[in-house]
Amino acid sequence: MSQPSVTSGINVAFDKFLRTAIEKNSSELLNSVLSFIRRVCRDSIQYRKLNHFNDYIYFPTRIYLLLHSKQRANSIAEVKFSKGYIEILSLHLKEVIWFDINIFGKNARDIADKSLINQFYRSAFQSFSNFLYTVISLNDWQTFNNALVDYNGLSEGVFDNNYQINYELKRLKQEANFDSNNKAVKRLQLEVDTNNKYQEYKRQVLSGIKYWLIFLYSENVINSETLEKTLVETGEGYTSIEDDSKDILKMRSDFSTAFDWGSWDHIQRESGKVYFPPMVSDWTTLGFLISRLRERKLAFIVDELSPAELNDVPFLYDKLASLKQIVLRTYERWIGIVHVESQEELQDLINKFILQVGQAKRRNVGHRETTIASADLSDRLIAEFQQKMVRSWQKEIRIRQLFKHFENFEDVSNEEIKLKFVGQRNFFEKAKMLFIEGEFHSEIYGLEQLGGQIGRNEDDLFFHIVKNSAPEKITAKSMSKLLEDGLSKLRSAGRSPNAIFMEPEYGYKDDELLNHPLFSTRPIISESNGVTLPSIGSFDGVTIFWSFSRSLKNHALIAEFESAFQMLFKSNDERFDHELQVLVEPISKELAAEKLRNEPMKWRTTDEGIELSEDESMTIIETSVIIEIGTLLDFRVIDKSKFVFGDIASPIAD
Amino acid sequence: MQVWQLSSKKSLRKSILETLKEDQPDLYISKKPNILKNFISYLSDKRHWWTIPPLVIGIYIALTLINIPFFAVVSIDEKIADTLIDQRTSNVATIISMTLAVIGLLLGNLAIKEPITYNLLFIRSRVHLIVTYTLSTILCLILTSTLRNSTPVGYEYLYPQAVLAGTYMVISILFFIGYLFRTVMLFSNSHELQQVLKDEFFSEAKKNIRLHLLNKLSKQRYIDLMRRMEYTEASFWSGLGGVIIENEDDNVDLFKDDKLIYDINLIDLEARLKKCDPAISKEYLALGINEVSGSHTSYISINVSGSCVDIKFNKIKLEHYLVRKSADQLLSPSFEFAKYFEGKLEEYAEQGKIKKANEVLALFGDIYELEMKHT
Repeated sequence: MSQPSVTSGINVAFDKFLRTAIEKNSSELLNSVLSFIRRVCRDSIQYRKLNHFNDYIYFPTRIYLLLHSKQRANSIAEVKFSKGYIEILSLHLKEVIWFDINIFGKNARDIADKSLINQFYRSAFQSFSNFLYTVISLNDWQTFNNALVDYNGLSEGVFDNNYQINYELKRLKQEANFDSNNKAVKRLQLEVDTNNKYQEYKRQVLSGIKYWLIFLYSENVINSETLEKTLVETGEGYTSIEDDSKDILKMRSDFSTAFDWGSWDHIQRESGKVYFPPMVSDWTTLGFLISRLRERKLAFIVDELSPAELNDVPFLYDKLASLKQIVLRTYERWIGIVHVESQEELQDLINKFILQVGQAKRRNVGHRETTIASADLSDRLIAEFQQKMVRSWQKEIRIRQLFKHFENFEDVSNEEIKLKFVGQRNFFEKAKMLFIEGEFHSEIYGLEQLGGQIGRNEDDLFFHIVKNSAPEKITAKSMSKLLEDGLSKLRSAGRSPNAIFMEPEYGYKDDELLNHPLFSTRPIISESNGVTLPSIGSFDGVTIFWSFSRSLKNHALIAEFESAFQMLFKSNDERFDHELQVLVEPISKELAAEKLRNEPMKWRTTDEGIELSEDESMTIIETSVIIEIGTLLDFRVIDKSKFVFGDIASPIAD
Repeated sequence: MQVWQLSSKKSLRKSILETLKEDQPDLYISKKPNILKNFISYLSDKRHWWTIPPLVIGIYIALTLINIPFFAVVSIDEKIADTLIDQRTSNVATIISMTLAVIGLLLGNLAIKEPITYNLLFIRSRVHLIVTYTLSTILCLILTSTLRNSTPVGYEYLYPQAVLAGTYMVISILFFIGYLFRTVMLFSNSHELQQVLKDEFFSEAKKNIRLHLLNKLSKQRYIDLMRRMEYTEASFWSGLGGVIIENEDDNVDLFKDDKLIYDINLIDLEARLKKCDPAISKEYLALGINEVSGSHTSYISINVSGSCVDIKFNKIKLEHYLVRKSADQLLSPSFEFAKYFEGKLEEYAEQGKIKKANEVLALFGDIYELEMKHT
């Protein structure tokens, strides 16, 4: 439970006093008001009490709103009274910044105290920003002009003039080889940043006002003459491109805490209804674009910014690209403001500017890609990837399960037999991020299908071999007929068939088979070593297995499985120590160079149409990775008389 | 276990008040405690009027019985004593009636006729004390004159002594009345009175700041201790879970248990905390002196996992380390004089009294400065 402060009542009483003073048109009383405010502000800076400062520093807006309502009064004396005081409000505010904060801030020596003084600056600038915004809302252009003159009269903050320290910082940076984690550099950088806050606030407030005016024009709240005049008054062209570029990124991302911009609105909203004021990131970007074009500052320089600060650049680029469409559609409204003759000229300017932002975006991405390209592959992530692959592969192996069940496989490690490689070795573009640790690590979804694919390919290989071994073929009208024929054929030859293979579709589509008296949904062999075998059921005491293999399309294989086929594998191959081998390899320089040689167009330009240097293209290529995944095995037909391969004359409809 | 009082070594309240006195002496009006002044102030309080008559009678009897050689210079025989006692009684009655009439006249001419100034006048002039003193003296004299012929045999010599003592007391009344007149005169001068009001305003503000600092600094010390012992402040949300801050029974009336936290025994608390199992999760609720809250019933340090550590042992009942009083004994800041001046400011503005308004504003500026300097 907090108790009321000693001065909380005074604040309320003072507000009443202020209102009375204005009601009574008493300039003496109003002078007392102003000198009291100034005193409290001064004391609060001296004793570093920001909360008291914030209670009073918004006085220009507070007094202005009271005085402005008097402007419509009939009495000339009243109008004169209010005009006279409105004129000096911004001057008082300027003096708070210019004299009070500067004087009492002078004795600040350490960074903490300087930051505190900066907060006073910030509040004062926010007050100025609010005042200008209020004046604009009331279309009081004379006061606006007046206030801007005062505002532009503010030149230096108390911590300005740091040529020495800036020079020192540059020197240190060079000594530290531009290592951003160097302690001395960090410390000095912090100091420089603290010292620069005053100029930063001053610049941002003015940019905010400028962008807001442009936004008001785009919303038809003010006309082009007013915009032209006010933009000139805000003093265009004094800010550097670096600063402006930095500011817009800040404005777009940090808007909630900035100079109260989030609450700015140009429409009188109905009370009781939910509404959202204009998005800060939207109108600042529009204002930024137009003022860049207008001042012909078409560069976008963000060299000094850290990668974190550049995070917003891609979004800025996208926003600018969409604004470009809007501006071009309503080009008649803008050619006057931007000082161009035609739509083409406007388009030309915008394109030039956006290209510059695109290059900055490229640089942002470039940082990310350099990091990825130079990072080492993580063994942990590779192992994780391998396990994932093995899991999905195991779900799809069917034939291999059967060979295991019937135990008709042979280890040919010591024989000079070349086995077949079932799998793939692929160049995966931009996939290296999957295998590195750190902030740029990212998942790629759907890759685990690769493992499953290998399982299916094994099936395929098997049926391909069987099909091409010139087996004994029979043809029948339907599947059930085929099975009857095939089984009786094998049985009459003294064989005991124990496996039928067909497509899974027959298990639910072929009514003739399903209703056949010999068909049962219960397989004879349903599982092996705890693994369920892929089965539809059984026919005349023989289990029906299914496989997705394309070679089985409208075919069926009936066999005495263990004596008809054999699977071969090697257990001692140095690369294939597992059943499924998963290898992840980075891109070597040679390979990258080769890629670039083969497809220069693909690698030398980005999606934004920006051309890259050879090194940059190489970096992009190096963010890729090679993934090799597969099994090494072969199948062999031992006895052709022990199986039949059937064709179906009239296949079931798909 | 309820703690009523802490020894000055263990009392956080005393320790903070001492540091305050040392570090910010200008928050205090006088540096040394004045026992006599405090005693007179105590007697001057309206609520303590009943202490005065017995005290006066006691003094009277003492003066009578103890034959002080200095006073005994005057020798009075029984006859003169008879005359004197009657005269003194009527003298005092006359003085009283005259005094009251004059005071009435002066009060009518008070420079600033506000309830607050009357109030202040009564306190400053100690009128309650003086009137009660005078009446008690009259009582003594009347009793003496009535009992003049009933002096017990063998003690007749006491009678002249009693008359003499009464005379001296009557003389002392003159000085008191002089003081009374002086004060009342002061209050008829508007400039002087304004100064008195300002002084009072300042001492009121100083008192409020002292209260504020007592709460703030004690909370700070409490939090410092907790941080030093590596405790973290329980957030509202973690409290909601009911795990970290627990009450004895689950259905707690939130405000029923609210108590004034009068003092904290940080020394014993620290010793207890040091005994705690270091592995458990540690959280606390912040609290300070002169605060009404329910957090005094809570515990600090409860382990979250709850399974392996004996919760009972690690529950520290905070109330063992607090001096609690009922919530109505909270010392709240007073704004009597602040309100007076706030009202005045508005009034001066309405009447266009610029000079006076500026004076008040300057005063407010000083109060702001006082607050900024000390908080």
